[in-house]
Amino acid sequence: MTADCIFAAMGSDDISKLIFRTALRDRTSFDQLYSRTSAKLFGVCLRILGDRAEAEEALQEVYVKIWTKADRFSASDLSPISWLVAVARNHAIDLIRARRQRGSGLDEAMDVPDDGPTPEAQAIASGEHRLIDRCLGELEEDRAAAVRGAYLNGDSYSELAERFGVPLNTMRTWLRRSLAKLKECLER
Amino acid sequence: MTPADDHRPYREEDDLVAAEYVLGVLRADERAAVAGRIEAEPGFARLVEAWEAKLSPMADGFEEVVPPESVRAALQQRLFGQSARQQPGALARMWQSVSVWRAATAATAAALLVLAAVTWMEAPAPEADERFVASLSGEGSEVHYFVVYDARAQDIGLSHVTGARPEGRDFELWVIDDGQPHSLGVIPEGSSVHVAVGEALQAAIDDDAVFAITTEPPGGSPSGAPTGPVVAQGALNPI
Repeated sequence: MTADCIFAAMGSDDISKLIFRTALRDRTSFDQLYSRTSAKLFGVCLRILGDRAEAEEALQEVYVKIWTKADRFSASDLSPISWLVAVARNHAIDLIRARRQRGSGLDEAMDVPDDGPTPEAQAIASGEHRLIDRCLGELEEDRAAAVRGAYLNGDSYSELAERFGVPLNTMRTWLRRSLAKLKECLER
Repeated sequence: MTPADDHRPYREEDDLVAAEYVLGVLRADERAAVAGRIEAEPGFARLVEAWEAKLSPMADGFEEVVPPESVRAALQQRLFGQSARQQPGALARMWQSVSVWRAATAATAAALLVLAAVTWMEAPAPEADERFVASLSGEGSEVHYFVVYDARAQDIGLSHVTGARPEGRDFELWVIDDGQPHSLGVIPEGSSVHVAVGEALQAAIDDDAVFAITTEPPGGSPSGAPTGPVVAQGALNPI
């Protein structure tokens, strides 16, 4: 069962409740929240950091943030899962940006252009998901891969520029244009 | 500048920076600068959140990996210490974190919520569905309150997050049940205030109820029905 199926089966309302209760310092609810969501968030940390020990440390830090910032969820319009993933992704990306240089071997290993081993099987066939795929599909192939790569692997502008063999500013222009197009398509 | 003062117009450039931040392509220093703006500028924070929502379907691509049980143990240790010395340690740590958060202006609102939460947690927890929380906010409005309703204590606690009342006006709190607004009274000024709930209105506050705040003449609506604009509203969530 994928994370999304589990989330769908239990209902994101339950996760919302657990986050609200966490904001009220309810440790039992926090522990349940961890049980139900840590596999997804560990997946996020592992994918972006590419190192198990670092990902385990990062996961702890992510849940410390969730514990201390759970009240902010109430002020957010994001779905509970999206909010949790955003906390994990942003933390993991901050960590790899703080690293001076990623090992080159690791770079190769993480050089998968798109989203992992079983993207379609994994992806719940929600309307929204198909929409983002359709909109990414409207971009040129390598630019869609750059967007996906950045989102899932945490690639930086300089890493993307190197991979695509273009100057950093060109990469930035490309990606900004792609993001604007993507937005236009998603809001169409 | 306080978060409530953020009325500046945002341009396409800001939106693209928000997108770049969410996508994760910026350098460490750029990310830190953007994170600072998220704290200080609610309008910019909304742009970031909109991008988080837009791109979130891609998160389906993150495969689930069960972390080793040692991580949970380490986390518990880190947050709560190893012994089962429960409340005092946790509370002390809470207060500590509150004071740290207060240091950052933009985080003050969040700290207030935590403070409020601590206050409520000190009372014995009532049965399920006797306590509700609601986050009251409004499109195009800076007014934001975090509300905890305790049915047993017939008490509504309100934490003022952002948004000042207009000069010469009061905020009035309403519960909307079956489309009918019932006044719960004028919200006292202050960062953490309480409103008592009469028996008659308790029945109106249930799972389906919505709280709303309007601006009214001083002392509240003269007619007993809302006269001013709704500046914030939100549904109740049982906790």
